[in-house]
Amino acid sequence: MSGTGRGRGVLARAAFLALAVCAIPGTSAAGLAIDATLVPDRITAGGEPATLTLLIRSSGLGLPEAPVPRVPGLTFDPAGSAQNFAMIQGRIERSVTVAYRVRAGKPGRYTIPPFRVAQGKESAVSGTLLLTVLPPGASFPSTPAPQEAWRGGGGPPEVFARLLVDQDHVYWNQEIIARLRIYARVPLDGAPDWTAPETQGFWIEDLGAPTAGSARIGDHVYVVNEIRWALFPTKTGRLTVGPAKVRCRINRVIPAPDPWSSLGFPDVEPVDVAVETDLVPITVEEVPGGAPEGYTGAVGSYSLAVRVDRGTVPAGEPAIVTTVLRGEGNVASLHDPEVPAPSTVRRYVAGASTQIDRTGNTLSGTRTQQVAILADGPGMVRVGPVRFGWFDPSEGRFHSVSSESIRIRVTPSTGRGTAPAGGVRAPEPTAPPRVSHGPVGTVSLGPPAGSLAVSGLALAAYAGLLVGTAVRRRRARDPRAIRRAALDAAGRTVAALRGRLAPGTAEASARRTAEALLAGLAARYDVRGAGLSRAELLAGAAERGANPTVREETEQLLGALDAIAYAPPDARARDAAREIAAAAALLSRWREELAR
Amino acid sequence: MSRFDRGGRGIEASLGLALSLIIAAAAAAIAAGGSGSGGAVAPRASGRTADASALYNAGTGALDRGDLGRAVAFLRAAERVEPRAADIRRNLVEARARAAAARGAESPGAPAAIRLSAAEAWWFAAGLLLLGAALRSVPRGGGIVALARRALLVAGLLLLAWLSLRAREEATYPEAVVVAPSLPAGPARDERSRPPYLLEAGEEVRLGRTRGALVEIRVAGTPIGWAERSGVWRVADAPGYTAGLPRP
Repeated sequence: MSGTGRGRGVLARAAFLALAVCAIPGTSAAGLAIDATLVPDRITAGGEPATLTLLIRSSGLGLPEAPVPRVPGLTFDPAGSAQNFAMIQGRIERSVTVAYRVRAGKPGRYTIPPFRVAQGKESAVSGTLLLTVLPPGASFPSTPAPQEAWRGGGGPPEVFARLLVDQDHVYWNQEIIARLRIYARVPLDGAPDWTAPETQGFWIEDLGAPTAGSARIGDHVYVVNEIRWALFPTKTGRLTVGPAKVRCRINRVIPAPDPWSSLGFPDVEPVDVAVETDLVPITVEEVPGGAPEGYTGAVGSYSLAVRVDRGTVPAGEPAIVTTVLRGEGNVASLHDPEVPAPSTVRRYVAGASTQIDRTGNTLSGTRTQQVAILADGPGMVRVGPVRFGWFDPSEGRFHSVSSESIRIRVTPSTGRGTAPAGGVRAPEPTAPPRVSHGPVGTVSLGPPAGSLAVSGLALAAYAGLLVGTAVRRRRARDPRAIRRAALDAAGRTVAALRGRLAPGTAEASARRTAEALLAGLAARYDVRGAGLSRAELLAGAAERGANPTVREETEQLLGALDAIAYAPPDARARDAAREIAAAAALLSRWREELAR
Repeated sequence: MSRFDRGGRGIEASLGLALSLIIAAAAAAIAAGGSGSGGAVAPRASGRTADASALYNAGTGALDRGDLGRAVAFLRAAERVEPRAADIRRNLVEARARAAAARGAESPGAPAAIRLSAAEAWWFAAGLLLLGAALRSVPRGGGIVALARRALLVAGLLLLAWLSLRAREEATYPEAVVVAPSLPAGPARDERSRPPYLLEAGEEVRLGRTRGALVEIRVAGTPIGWAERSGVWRVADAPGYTAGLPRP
């Protein structure tokens, strides 16, 4: 925790205590009062400081200061102050809370004399405080105070942690069970987050899942979470385990500061708490001398089993000798036992595995090794005996086991695969050979060139189609393209009328040509022609840029087309053909103008 | 055709031409490579193609002789050419089972019955993509057509990606079969000393780097040691070992 954070924490505790004192009936009855508290009342020399909190209350606007007494061997460092102003039963009451960090350089019992304040004719005096200072590294056997980190409401800590070991004097590589216990007497907001203890000089293995229970300490019932590890010292001497660190969030209940705030109900504030355990010293001794043959550093309690997969094996084929070590201890670091074999045979490690059981109170497991023994010529091969030794710390002595020698008969090589190993599986009849060639294909997993080309072209075509669709859609939304399309439609209509022109249809053709011409005019000059009369359409075209010549030309052509109906019958078709041709030419000209 | 008709047809025409070219190219390529797994033509001793029957007979002969490593290697190569042939599958399963029994392991299961050769799978992916592109060119495709073309495109691309990864792995770490009766795979001289692994005939591994006469052996994506190159055959090289064997 940073200095600022720690200062805030001290001040928060002091304020909390002050509020708690204010809430006690009768303490505010007097005009001037002073209370002093010291938390904790036991510390270590040079270690974490105690917090001295002074609460001075006065029923008026003035508030005196309390001088800090001089106590040889103790230092008082200001840690902050807070003021409070309240209306209680119609009276104004001011209070100030001042916090000090109290440190001691030497062990001993210190008496902090009473604090005195005076204002006018009134005076007040606090009680005497006692501080016990222990030597550095000393533990507090009767109270969990060393591990506490938070005392929101005074009294025993709300959350603290302990690191326990089942033994503190062990042999090298002997198993030690370490337990981290997290005590909480207030509800935790979620599961606590812990860090495994520092275990330099130890091999550490998790042991089981965390467990939860409860314990009564003094007048309080704590919920206890326990996490276990198996530790195996890898060097001798005086080692330490820890500290383990725990972070959790508690729901802190804050009493209402005055009867009016929040209708007098207490507030619940989540507070992050970090606690840390003490260091636990462990003394590690060397394993005594006199180790038996086959001892490779195993400490614990073990058993050995040796087996071979077959007693008869053709020359050139392996026989598998399996050694199985079971027991309690550091199974993961076990050295496999030597499988002695004559120098005339070849010997290989064909496999090894370790299974660890973490569910019990101690770490146990199985270490399996397969050794392949290969003889190139027929004869009798003697393997073993396999020896394994270990040190049992509970008895303080070594143990050793030895297997029987294994005899493997090596027969002349009769061709591999003709006989199944161990008689486990009888060979199935095989399918007969083929008498014809083929089919022919590639053994490679690479792509045929043709398939790659087709895939590439298909993807390119797909991409091209996507682009084409996008272009078409964009073009369909273009207003100029829409107008061009309308002019194209008018042109196609006039061209069709021109092709179908006959004497009997001249009048109708002329009328439809006039309509197409007006539609073309509207498209050319972007006039919304729906519902407009001919005059309005022409006026609109003029407003949108049609010059007088165009307007005059269009009016003349429309007049000529109207006049077809009144032409002599014999000249009607000829006149209509001329005027429709003129209309087609005009539409074509407008289309070209629009395309530019 | 008037200029009014020419307006929106250019892109359609060019795309149609492109699709025609693609279909023609695909047809030509399929025709050229059609004998990849179907036709019975004379075997070639070199090149990338191999006669499945020659490989099968070589593998069956090795199996009958009890040479399980070579049997597995030949039959694996034959399976790559003709993956759905019942006789190849049967003898390959038997060779693997005997090899597993010889080393005290459990027999591997039979491969899936519906399988494609690598070439067929590549062409299948190309066909999916081609069909997707063809459906894309349908001018008034409904919802089902749109869904189908997208599904075809995605399936084709996924298959292409998987095939590419498989081919890349084969190129980097080719599949191989242990053909020596027993093959120790241990650390190289400059590596930390450790006991060698003992591989046995018929074990299927992948090969990594080579160093002189040694090759790195990989099992389940992990290098386990270095072994003599003469003790393993790459599956892709198996056709080369059929040269001196009797032909069907």
